[in-house]
Amino acid sequence: MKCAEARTKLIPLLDGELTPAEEAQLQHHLTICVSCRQQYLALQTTIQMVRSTLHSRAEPLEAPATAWSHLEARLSQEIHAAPSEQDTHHLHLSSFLEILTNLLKGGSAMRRGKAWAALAVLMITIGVMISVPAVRAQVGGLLRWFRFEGPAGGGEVAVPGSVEFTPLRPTYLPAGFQAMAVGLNPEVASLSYWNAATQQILIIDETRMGRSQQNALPSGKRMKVNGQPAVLVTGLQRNISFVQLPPTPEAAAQTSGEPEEPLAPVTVTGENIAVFDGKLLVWHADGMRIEMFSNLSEEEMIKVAESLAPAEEILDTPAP
Amino acid sequence: MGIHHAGQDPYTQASFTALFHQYKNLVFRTAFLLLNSEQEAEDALQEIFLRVYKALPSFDPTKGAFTTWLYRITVNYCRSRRRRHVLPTFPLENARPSDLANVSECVERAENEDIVLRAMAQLSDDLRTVLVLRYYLDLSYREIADVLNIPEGTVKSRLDRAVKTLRGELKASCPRISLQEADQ
Repeated sequence: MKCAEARTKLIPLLDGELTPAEEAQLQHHLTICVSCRQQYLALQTTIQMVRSTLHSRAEPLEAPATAWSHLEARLSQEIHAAPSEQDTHHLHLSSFLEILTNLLKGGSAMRRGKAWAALAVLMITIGVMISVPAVRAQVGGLLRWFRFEGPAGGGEVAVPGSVEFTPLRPTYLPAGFQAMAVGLNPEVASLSYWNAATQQILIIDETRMGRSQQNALPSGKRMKVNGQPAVLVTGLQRNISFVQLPPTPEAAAQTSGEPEEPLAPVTVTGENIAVFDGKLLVWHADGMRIEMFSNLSEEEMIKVAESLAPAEEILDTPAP
Repeated sequence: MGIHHAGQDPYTQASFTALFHQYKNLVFRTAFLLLNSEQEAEDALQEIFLRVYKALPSFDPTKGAFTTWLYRITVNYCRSRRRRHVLPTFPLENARPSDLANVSECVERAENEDIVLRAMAQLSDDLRTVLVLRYYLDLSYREIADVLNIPEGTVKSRLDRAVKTLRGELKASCPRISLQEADQ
């Protein structure tokens, strides 16, 4: 290898982007060429300084505590300014399942080591269970696992192990629900139960109350949930879509090659629920703001709300 | 004002809330590095997630990973913002040396970091962006190519130019920084 060619490959070598054959060839050249070796060391030092500086300056920064409330206000303005687009703003289940697929497979945009640290939003649907035992075995104590029982079975969902947050789940559910989805991250839990055939829906959002969040209860009918002040807003209309697109071929193709448990096929497709008599129940419990949207009766909503209890945490070491 | 409003889909809101909290720090920090300013990054965070919210219905998981899509929105927004505003170089008060072992080490390291940041601020947007994507977000060349929608070879050549330009700037700015290189 000539020096001119070697020097075009020094940075890819430092970045781990050469093939094994290219790397061997270049390493050999570096052992015999002092000049290229010195340049290699200089570039290595430069890259180390850049990497260290970027991390040192950025990592201590946290998004402002007011960021969500400001964004929420902006979103509200946007939505009111463009009412005709309201129903198109659905975050489809597929988006979260895509995130999940990437996390479980060490997907294309996240390195495996980082994926677990960033793990936050997981969705499961009962009857279409995501296969997680092998994943639990891999990540050990990095995550806290919670079990959620749904109308047709149960599933396990994780948040980072450092999070002091226990999601609440209903211990009472009226009959008729057939599907469940759970989304978790360090600050939010979102539980959805639905039956597309009967157009029945129950969505429970639990958000940790921060100093800056807007925690005031909305205007509406004043009620009590387990003795705590609550507000019920009625007459809400919603059109809620659960859409599952096929898994990303790219994500599957770019796995690291390590043997992994396959994901069970997910078959929630194109379910749409139109709600014409929706109610929103809002209250605070255990440092959480809880918002429950449903077309159940008022009495049933209160009964579900009062049944909320911490989700079961799975503490045993999973078998490999 | 609560999360839900008449006519608004609560499922969307719940999911978007989770999404925001999942990625807010990553986006904020990346925007800070691309824009050189915490204040600018705060504004960018709002605008980027507003764009994410509006564009979510068009996000197609079959065309790429969600994070690639999010990084693309972040990079594109920060580029357009830089074009509209004259942005500052990194101020010295951004130094955060408190976790270092001793004062002299603190001062030296903070000085070196400032030199690196000032040198980076002199680079073009294209070169600075690939440095942040590669050495902060730790993306591979293929992933950077996907985010920027450019060929992988262009990523490689931009990184080569960026790192070598920085090396020259650092040598000129601070002879105390050892780059372990003989005169060429």
